[in-house]
Amino acid sequence: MIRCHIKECYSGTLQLATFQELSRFLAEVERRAYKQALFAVRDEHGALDIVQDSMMKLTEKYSGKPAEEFPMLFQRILQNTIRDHYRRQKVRSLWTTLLSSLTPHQEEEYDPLETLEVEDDSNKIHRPEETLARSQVVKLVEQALESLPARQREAFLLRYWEELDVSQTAAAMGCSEGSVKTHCSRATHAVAAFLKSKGIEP
Amino acid sequence: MNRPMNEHDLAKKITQHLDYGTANLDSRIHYRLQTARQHAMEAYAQPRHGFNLAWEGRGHSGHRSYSPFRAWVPLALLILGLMFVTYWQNTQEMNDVSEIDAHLLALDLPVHAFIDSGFDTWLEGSSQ
Repeated sequence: MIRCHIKECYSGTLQLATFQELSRFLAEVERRAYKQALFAVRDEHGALDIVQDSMMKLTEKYSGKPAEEFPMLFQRILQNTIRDHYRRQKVRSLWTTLLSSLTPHQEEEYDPLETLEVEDDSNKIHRPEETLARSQVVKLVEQALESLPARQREAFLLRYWEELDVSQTAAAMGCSEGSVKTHCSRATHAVAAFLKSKGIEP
Repeated sequence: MNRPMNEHDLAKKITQHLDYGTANLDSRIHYRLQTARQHAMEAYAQPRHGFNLAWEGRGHSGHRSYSPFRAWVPLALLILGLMFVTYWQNTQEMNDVSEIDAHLLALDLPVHAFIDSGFDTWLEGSSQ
């Protein structure tokens, strides 16, 4: 096995390509990864930390893997990092509640509407009407995704946004293919219903 | 039959909106993501010049970062550490024993006196 690895190492061109491929892959995926993390944790800094940690883990531990495996590996790492973040946040908030009653309500910090309104105002000044309308639809779609149960959102984003197939999504989520299909279906219809309730045909 | 098609079409339209949102991400966020990526790629580059060079014994700048030796190094260090601790303990024990021996030999009292039960009785009697 070691011999195989060394053999692979000395084919210099393969190595160089892998380094570039990994860099290109991260550049392609980083924005979507950030959005995925943001939908899950609803905190800009937290989302950026999650993406950075995931990128680090991929480069440190799996850079020797073939480029075709990167999307799947990265999604697994990303989802696990999001879950770790949830766990840490849970413990932290438990201690915060126990130790201090003076902290403000966390829900207030997580209200996405506050930030959305501010951004919409700036859009009105700088962008044409069409762009504004489009960005408002985007905000609503993002809002709908944020309101989904975590597993439904995860399945939807992996299956339809990251374009993993059902078995890859199931592997990344650690559940059955049937569950993936159920989650995806529910998520899609929930988002569509949310948009309809706001007067938007998806 | 139409249901899965509808679901896929809906999902496609929804993800198009998401793509639009991602393409128009704030430049500040974009910059931070770029920096994060650069840090990650630095982490990729570092072990190439350290471990592979040392263990494989050839200078080459285009090696993979992953080395199978990396997994064995902590184990080897642990074994070496345990061997050193065991050796050190044995040496210490031997030093203690030789110290006691030297002390016993340096005494005026003959060594046989320590295993003589009569000497113990005499010692107890004389101390009273």
